[in-house]
Amino acid sequence: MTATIQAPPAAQRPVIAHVGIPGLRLVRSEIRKITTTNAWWLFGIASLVFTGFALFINMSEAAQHLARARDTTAVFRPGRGMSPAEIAAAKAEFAQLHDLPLQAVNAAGNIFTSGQFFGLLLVMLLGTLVITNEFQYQTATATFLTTPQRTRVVFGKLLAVLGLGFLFWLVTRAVSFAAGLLFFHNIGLTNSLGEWPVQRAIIFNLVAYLLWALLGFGLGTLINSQIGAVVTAMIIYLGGFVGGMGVFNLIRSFLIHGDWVLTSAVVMPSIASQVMVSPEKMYAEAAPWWVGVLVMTGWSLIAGAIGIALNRRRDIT
Amino acid sequence: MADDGIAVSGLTKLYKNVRAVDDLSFTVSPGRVTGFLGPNGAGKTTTLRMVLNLVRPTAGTTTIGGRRYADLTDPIRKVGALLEASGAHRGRTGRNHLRMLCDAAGIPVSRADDVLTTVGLTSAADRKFKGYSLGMRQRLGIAAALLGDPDVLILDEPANGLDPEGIRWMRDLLKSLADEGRTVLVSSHLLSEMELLADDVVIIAAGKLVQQGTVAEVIDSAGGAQMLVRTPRPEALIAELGAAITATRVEDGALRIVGADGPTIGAAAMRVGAEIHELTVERRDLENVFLQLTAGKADIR
Repeated sequence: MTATIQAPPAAQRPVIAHVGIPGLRLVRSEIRKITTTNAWWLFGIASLVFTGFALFINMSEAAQHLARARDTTAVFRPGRGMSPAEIAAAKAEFAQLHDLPLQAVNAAGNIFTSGQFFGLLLVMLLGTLVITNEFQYQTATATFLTTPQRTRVVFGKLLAVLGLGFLFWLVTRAVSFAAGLLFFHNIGLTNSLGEWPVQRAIIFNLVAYLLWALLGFGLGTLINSQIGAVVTAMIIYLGGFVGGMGVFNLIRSFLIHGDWVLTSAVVMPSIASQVMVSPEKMYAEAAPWWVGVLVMTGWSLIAGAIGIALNRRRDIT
Repeated sequence: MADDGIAVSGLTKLYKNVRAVDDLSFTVSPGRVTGFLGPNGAGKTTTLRMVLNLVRPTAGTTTIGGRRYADLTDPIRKVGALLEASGAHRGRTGRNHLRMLCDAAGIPVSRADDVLTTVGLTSAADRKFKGYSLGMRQRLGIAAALLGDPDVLILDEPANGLDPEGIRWMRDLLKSLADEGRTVLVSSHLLSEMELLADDVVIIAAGKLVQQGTVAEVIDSAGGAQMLVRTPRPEALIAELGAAITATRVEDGALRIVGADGPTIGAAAMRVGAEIHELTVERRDLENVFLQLTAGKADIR
């Protein structure tokens, strides 16, 4: 009798299907990363709260301005001892304050873009976190094992961040849209949505959301330390708004006496952003709106490109 | 599956002034469990991270199935890896951690549930990572490594934080994976565990290769069998055996003799009239050999 040695039956290996569209798999993964942690709804709630708060302030202010503009009994009275030039200026201001269509457009522009100040800060921080979280929680290892082409990971994240910026814009604008319509309906005035300055304000509000998300993302790519990137982002955003113009005014007054110094303040991201969203010139020497767009995009690209170059060579430990 | 081996060739990693890995070459065969051993700081983790394209080598190449990791299409379908610092977001559940990896790799998300079952983590799947014990985190890492049903597994200290039952489960899992023809490379400093688990071992110290081969080969390479002898006249016996042997005194007074077998020692003892109270062959184990091979090279660098 001969013993027959049989090979053991081959183990059952699972058949794993290939799913997803190759270019969008990473975007989908990034969206799942965002939606499976608390960050998105914490930021979402914060964004809604700030929008509600800003709506309240903007509406109270608009109600006052509109009431004043509608007051047909007011008559311009020049103050005593004013020079003719002063009287002319005061008269022009009076005319503006009592120009109901102008006031209605201004109010609509403010109300329909309510919450912009903190909304932009929040999308910038989200853009930063999308990258720095990977290093903060050491998920970069798993991410880069799945996709060793690190630049592709960065672009997947980029698309997810822009989508997120758009979503935040959409939701907060939907809220302010509904609130704004109610407001103008209640006081019996046109909502001015047909006016170009109002449309422009809403469109550039979206552009600002996308560009700040992009800038935050670029910063996160460049500075992988979570705390470092977030602090830098806050300084660029808040510092720019609070002290940005002041610095350039000082330079103009004491160092270089040229108006181009004030114009060049647009290199600061927060000033670029304001220059971009303002329907009128922000100040006499301000650069045109498209320079603001270019500056914001430029900073994001520079930070992102250096970040990507570093990232390709970085040791993940 | 002959093409699923791992080949490391001339691998070097220089950190400022430390050669963490120094001209290291070795191969890992499919269908076997290979233990990757070395003292702390020997460069094990750095080597594995270089194989996986996470750390850039200063020089040298590493391939898996003949290709660099970065050149693999859908690498996690080919290679599953568990590394020490492969974390997960504290606020994300285990299931979602696996699902986002599925998304990125184009694997159906249902696969996350399959591997959670394999590692016995189904009941904790919807708990957040911060609530996981060390052993559960390790199991989640192994689940992630198994997502793509890979032909090659690279695991860095997989037994870390596992209880005895978990260690046995891991051993059975890795052995069965190797029996299916997969390549399994496991780093560890648990030598007794390695002796039970591994077919082959690669031993490194101070970034350099010390020894590679099957477990039996490596143990034999460290010299012949050891004999344990107990006698009231050890000096006379040692003198009679001459310079061919090395003898060391064990704490309880016995002699450990390398370089002479039982009959030689017995004959020598008879010639000098030394009584023999005990004469045993001492089988050497991996730990023994490892300590001998890496002696003096285990300094913290």
